[in-house]
Amino acid sequence: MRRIRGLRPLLCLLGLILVLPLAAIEWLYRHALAQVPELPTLPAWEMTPDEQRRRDWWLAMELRPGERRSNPSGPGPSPGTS
Amino acid sequence: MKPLLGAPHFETLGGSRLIGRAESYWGFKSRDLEGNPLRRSAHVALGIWFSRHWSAEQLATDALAQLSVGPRIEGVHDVSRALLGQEWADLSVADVALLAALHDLPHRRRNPTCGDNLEYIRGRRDWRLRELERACVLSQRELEAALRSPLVFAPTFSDWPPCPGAKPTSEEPGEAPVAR
Repeated sequence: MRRIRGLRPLLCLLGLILVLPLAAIEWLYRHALAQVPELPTLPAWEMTPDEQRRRDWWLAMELRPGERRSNPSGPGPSPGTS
Repeated sequence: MKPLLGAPHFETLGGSRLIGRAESYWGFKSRDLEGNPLRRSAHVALGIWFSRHWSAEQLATDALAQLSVGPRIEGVHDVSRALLGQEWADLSVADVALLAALHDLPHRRRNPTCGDNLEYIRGRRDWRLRELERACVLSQRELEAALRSPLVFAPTFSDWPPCPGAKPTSEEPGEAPVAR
């Protein structure tokens, strides 16, 4: 019992050692992001299936091999693709 | 041709190249509260923000909406109409690869009427097409057909950057290059 009680502060200390650097990094990120007065917005572009298909070709060319991955839930063919 | 990343619910990680482009575009476009260019730390934070909030499809859509050739033409619709004389929705996979290749080139290499640029551009386009085949988007037969297709630019396009070392002599647009 005494041993378990002695472990508690150690665990708390370990938790702080892990959490504090992460919190500091997050704070730095938010502080730097606060310099950007207006965050980017997505373009209002309703794509037709043909446009979407060409966008996907473009995307496939932009992604490096290690960044490509397949959809685990199985996307199935999108409209307009053969 | 295989369907790729097509379903609306499908989301991939942004990818470092796409994030780099978006960060660069929006970072250099934005000004801080005092109107000064953003600091490097804000650029890095913006890149992280993109990786957290936008999918690869959204980043690609944004990149296409910002695509430009020359100072006057922006957006992939206008670019494909001006540069290739076709609508974006009608482009072949070889044309899309050509646009992507041109987009990546430094200015001195973009003008196909200069020196060996046309062959250089063709090489870059073909490399992009082979990437698509490696990504299983194109079959071998589709790749071969795309590699055979010519590079055709709209004859009316006159916004090419000047050839390196050439003196500007005329405002007349050069003859549209076609490589077969």
